[in-house]
Amino acid sequence: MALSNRHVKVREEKRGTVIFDTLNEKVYTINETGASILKLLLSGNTLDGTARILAQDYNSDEAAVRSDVIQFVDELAARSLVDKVPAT
Amino acid sequence: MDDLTGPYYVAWWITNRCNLLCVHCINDSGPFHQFDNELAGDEIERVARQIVELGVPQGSITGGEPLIHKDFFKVAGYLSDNGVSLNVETDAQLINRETARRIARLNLRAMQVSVDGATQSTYGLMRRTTTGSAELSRVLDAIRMLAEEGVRVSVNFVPTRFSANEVGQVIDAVAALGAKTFYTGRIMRVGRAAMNWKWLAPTEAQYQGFFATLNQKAKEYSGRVRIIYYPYTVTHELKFRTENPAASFVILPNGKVKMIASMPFLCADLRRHSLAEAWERYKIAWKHPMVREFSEKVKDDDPMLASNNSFVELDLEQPVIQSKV
Repeated sequence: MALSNRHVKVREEKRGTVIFDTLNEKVYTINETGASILKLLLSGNTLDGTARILAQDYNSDEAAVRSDVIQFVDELAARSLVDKVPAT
Repeated sequence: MDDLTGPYYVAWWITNRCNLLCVHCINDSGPFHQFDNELAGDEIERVARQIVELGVPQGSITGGEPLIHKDFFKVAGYLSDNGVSLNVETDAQLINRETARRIARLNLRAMQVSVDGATQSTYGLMRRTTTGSAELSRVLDAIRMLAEEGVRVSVNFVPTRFSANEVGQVIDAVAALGAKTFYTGRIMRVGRAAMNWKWLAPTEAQYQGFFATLNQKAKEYSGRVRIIYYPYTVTHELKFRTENPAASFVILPNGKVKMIASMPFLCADLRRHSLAEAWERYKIAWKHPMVREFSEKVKDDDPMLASNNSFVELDLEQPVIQSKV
């Protein structure tokens, strides 16, 4: 997955990860789980791969985690912050 | 702001030299107004590098006229290529086809072009040169060329007593040329605008018509051109900013760091401080008694804003003690 364009920026802060949509002049702060998902996807993992890693890290059900990951990515995509993500 | 690792936005006023001598310039720039100690060479590169290292996500290069700075393309290219979403503020008088192509390669967030009138007589009254007036047609040509080369163009419009009624025509003209965003608001009573205030400031009745036109145009151009305006005065903004400082500051041509355009206060010097140190000093500076006093007094004495370019270096070495007296 990639950020939708070069004017979307991500920065780690003490209070969470911040996404800057500089073209539309909007700033989003995401929580720790969202930050983990974003980091894994931006480093090249697929949706399935991301869900697998997070399910292991949080000792959770992989299908449930996958559903959360998809929902989160859909929200980012709806705001035009990221491109489409390959499922596998 | 206190827990942020760095500013969200840096405005880099890279030179005070300008090809124009505008009657409303907030920075009091002009052809012979270059600071005698502007950053150059290695110093410019060091500041640019620190902006990138501190992870500043967005910034702007302003002036004066940035395009006449000899390192403009080098600095803008470096910042843009290294993760800073960059806006450049220009009068666009010096842009030809070749310049537009070079600008396109910078991948800027936007080229922000000033257009303050729909007619040559109005534009020329505001945008002066040492020998006369700047040409509106050159700016409109520049917008067209930039848009044709794929540069995202935003337009900035400053209303005055003699131009406020032309805002609708300006929006129509720049939209037809390919501008995507239109910024405006009340003229700021700072810098040269403050000195010329009596004949520049629109009346409240003019402002009512001005904002009504903006609302109408925002509907008309919905989905095509974003029309963004700030309806408040600069004193209103200062009052708000004193309690809610923005995560942004201004780097002056000589490397001094100014807290906000409308106040004279400097909180750091990039010849002595790193950008990270400047950020920490900026946060402290907002609590400085002189800053709070200025913000308080200016509410009832807005001609004070004319002093925004008579810079005052804050002493931040001593602990700041706030007093209610």
